[in-house]
Amino acid sequence: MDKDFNLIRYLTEEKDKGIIIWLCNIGAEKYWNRVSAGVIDRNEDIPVNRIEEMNLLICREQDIVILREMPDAEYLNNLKSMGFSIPTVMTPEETDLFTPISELVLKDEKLLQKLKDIAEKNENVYFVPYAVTYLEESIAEITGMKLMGAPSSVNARVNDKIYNREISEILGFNVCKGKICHTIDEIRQQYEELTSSEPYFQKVIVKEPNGASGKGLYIIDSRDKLESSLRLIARFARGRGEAKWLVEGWYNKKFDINYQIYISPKGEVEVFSVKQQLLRDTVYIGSVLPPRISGDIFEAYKEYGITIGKYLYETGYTGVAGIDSIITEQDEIIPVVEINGRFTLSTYISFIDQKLKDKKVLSRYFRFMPDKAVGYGELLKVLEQQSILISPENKEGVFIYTAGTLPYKLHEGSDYFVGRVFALIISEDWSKIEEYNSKLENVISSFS
Amino acid sequence: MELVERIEKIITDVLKIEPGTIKEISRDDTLNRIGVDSVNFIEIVISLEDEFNITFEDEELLLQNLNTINKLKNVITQKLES
Repeated sequence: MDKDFNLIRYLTEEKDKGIIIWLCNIGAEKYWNRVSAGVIDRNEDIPVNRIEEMNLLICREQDIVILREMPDAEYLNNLKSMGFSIPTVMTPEETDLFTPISELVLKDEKLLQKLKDIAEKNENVYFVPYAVTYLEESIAEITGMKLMGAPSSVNARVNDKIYNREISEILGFNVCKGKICHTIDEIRQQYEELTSSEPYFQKVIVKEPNGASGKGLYIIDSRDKLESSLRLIARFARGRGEAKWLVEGWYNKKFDINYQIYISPKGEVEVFSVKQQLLRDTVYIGSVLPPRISGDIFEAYKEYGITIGKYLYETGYTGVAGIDSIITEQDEIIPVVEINGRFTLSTYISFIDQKLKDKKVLSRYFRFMPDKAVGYGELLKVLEQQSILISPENKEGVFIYTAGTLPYKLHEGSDYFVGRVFALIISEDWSKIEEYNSKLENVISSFS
Repeated sequence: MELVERIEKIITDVLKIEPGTIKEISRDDTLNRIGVDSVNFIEIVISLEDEFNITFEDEELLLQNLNTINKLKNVITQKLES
C-alpha cells in the first residue's frame, strides 16, 4: 500500500494529486459474513444499487468513477453548476440493476484492461471502494491498481458489533447496558433484566453481530411483543452457525451522532466529519450539518475518533470508518454504538462544505412511492414551482443529489414505482431550512 | 378450510386488516396493494411455516416469487407434496 496516500488531503488540500478510481460497492457486507437478509424485494434493490451516484459528490476532475449506468445528463449538469467536479465515468458493458457492481466489473474484461492500462501508464492510481471485500481485492490484483483500505478479513472483524463493544470496553468508554447472548432463553432473561431493574428500559434492542442497514436489528418495544420477536430472531438464526446476539437497553436520546474518521496507510488519524443524524427507529433518514451540539462535545468526539482510529490502526485497519454514537437524555455520551469499517452514506456528504462555504445543511432521505414514474427533471420542475429548488448562484434551497435512485420508470416484473429521494436542504438560516423541509415533504407526498 | 383461505387468513391476521379486504384483489394481484412489504412479509412467512409445517430456505425469500396468493399457493402446494 502507498504510504504517502492520504484520502482526506487528496479531497481537500491536494486535489490535483494522483488519480482515484472510485467504486461504490454498496451492500458489500454480505461478502464478509452470512447475514440474515430477511425477505428480499428486488424492486427495493434497484434504487439502493443506484445510490452509487452519491460517489460523484467527492470525485475530483481527474478521477474515474465506475457506475453501473451513465447518470442522467440533467443531473450531471446540475452537479457541475453547483461546483462539483465531474470525473470520467466508466460503466461495465454488460450491466443490470441487480448484480453487485464489483461482480459486474470482474466479468468485464475490457473494463479490467482499461483500468490496467490506466494503472500502468500513471504513477499514482489509487482504488478507493466503498468497502473492501475479496471482490475488490481481486479487481486490484487483476488491474494492478493500489487498493486503499484494509484487507477484507480485517474489515469483516471491524464491522462486527460485538467486536465494536469489546473495543469500547478496552478503551474505557461508556457502553450501552446489555450483554452478549448465545441462546433465545438468554435473550429472554436479558430482556427481563433490562426492563425490570434500573434504569428500567422500556425497549430492548437485539442485534445480530453483522447486520447492516437496519437488517438484523430487532427492537422489542413492549412485553406483548417479546415472544413474537423471539420467534422472529430464532427464525433468522437458522443456518447462521454459531448464534450470538448483542442485547442492549434502548436509550432515549437527545442526539444520534455519526462521526467519520480516516486512518491513512501511515497511521495518521483524522476526524473529518461530525454530524447529527436523524433516524426513524434504526434506519437513517438524514443528517444535520453542522450538528447542533456544543463546542466541547464536538471536541470530545474528535478525541474519541482519534483514540478509536489509533486502536484500529494497531489491529491492521486503515481507511474510512463511520462511527455511530448517542447522547442520552441524561447527557451521557456513549461514544460507540457501532463502527462501520467502510464508507457510509454520510461519508459522501462530508465534504460538501467546500462547495457551500459555511452554509447550514439538512440532508434528507425519503423512500418514494409515487403513482407514476418520476425522473430527475420532473422532480426538479415541481421543486421549482414551489420555489424551493436550489439556485446555483446563492446555493440556497433544495438540492437533489442523486438521479438514478428515483422511480424514473417501471422496472420489469414490477407493478408499482419505488425509489429513493436524497436531498440537501441548504440555507444560512435553520428556520428557512425547516420551511424548505416542510415544503419538500409536501412535494414528496403530493406524488402519491 | 381450503389452502387459499388459510393463506388469506394468515395475511389478514398479520396485516391486521378486515378479512374482506383481501377479496378485493385478485389472486394474481401483488399483495403490496393491500400493504404487504418486505418487512411484514417476514411475519407472514413465519406464520405460513407454522401453519403448514413447512420451511422456506433463505434463498427462497424473494418477494417477487411469493407476492401473490397464487404464487404462495403454488409454492406451498409444492412443499406439501415433496
